[in-house]
Amino acid sequence: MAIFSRQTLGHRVNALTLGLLLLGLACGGDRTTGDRAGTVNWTLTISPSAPSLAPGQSLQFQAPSPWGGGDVWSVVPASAGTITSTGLFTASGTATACTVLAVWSQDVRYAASTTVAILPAPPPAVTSPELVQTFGADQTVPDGSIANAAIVDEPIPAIVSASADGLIQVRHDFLPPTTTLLPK
Amino acid sequence: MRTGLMIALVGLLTSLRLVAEDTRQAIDWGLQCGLAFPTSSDLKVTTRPGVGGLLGVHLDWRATQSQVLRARADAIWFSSGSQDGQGPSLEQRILTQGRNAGVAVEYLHRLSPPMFEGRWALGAGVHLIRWTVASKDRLSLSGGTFLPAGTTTWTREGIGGVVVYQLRRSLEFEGGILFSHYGYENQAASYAHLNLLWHY
Repeated sequence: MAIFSRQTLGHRVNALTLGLLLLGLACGGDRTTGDRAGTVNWTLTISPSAPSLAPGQSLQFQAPSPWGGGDVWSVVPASAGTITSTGLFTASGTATACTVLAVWSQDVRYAASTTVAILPAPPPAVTSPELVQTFGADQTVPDGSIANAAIVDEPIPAIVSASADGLIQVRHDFLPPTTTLLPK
Repeated sequence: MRTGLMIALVGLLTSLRLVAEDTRQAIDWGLQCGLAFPTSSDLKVTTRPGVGGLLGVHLDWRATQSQVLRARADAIWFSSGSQDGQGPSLEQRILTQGRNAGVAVEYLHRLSPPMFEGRWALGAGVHLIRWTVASKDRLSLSGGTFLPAGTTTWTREGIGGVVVYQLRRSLEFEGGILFSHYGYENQAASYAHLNLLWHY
């Protein structure tokens, strides 16, 4: 027994086809902007860009993708430091330069890199007994007491800073406060 | 929308199956093979030089003398492409290999004027395509080279049109074009195809 007559079938096929075509036209999918899937992609960028670190210092890198997902992190050369799967970089103890690389875990065509400078460690503080003797010269006051004196090897609070004109400024806690500028 | 299209495709295939029970003589199936040529710029880059091989199966329901509904499944293997790029402190070379697999329902209308002798047919269809791109990346930095590799897939809808010429009762030649999208940026992905279809 036939379910439909041939003519009825024809009408149903026409209606079905029209519906399918309209459905297909409506199926555009989501559109987003960005680089092309089939070309070299520089959509991924690493932040912070070209940072400087002290030896042993850590820094969190990020390379977010517009479409979510994580990155695979690497550092070259490997002796310059370590980097975790979340992008936390820890510099080694040697001053050097290295490159941090991020590859998007969802599609390896998306990659980014940045250079990292690991700076030399700052020099240790310098003790200068001559400086104490200079500022401690005027140690007597009219009532006979002693002021602005320091016992040998006693630490003297002081503030050291660099001014804009390139001089080193040393300010001690003696009364009255005195500022001395020394060539850098 | 994708779910709706899937439901529509499943419904159509099921309907064909049910109708086939009573109109077995109006149903036939077959195989097709041919070539696919990417026509959208992005797909050309990914598949340079851009020729692919196609294999598939189809199921025809001759609803009337001039109307045919065709359900089909096709797989295409495109040729591989390569791209080079340079960024800050990084050189990149990418090798890509694209392929797709899809199902579709097409409506074919046989042209009846005597000059066509009933051999020509025009058709249109909706497709559901799973695109796959396998990538091998070569990242060269000062001090090292990385070779990450991976495969990414996307499922997208598509629409297409075909022209069919019946060489024999059991053999057809088909030319068509399909429009779709792929990639994380949903770039246009279209290709033309030339196929031979055998009916059993």
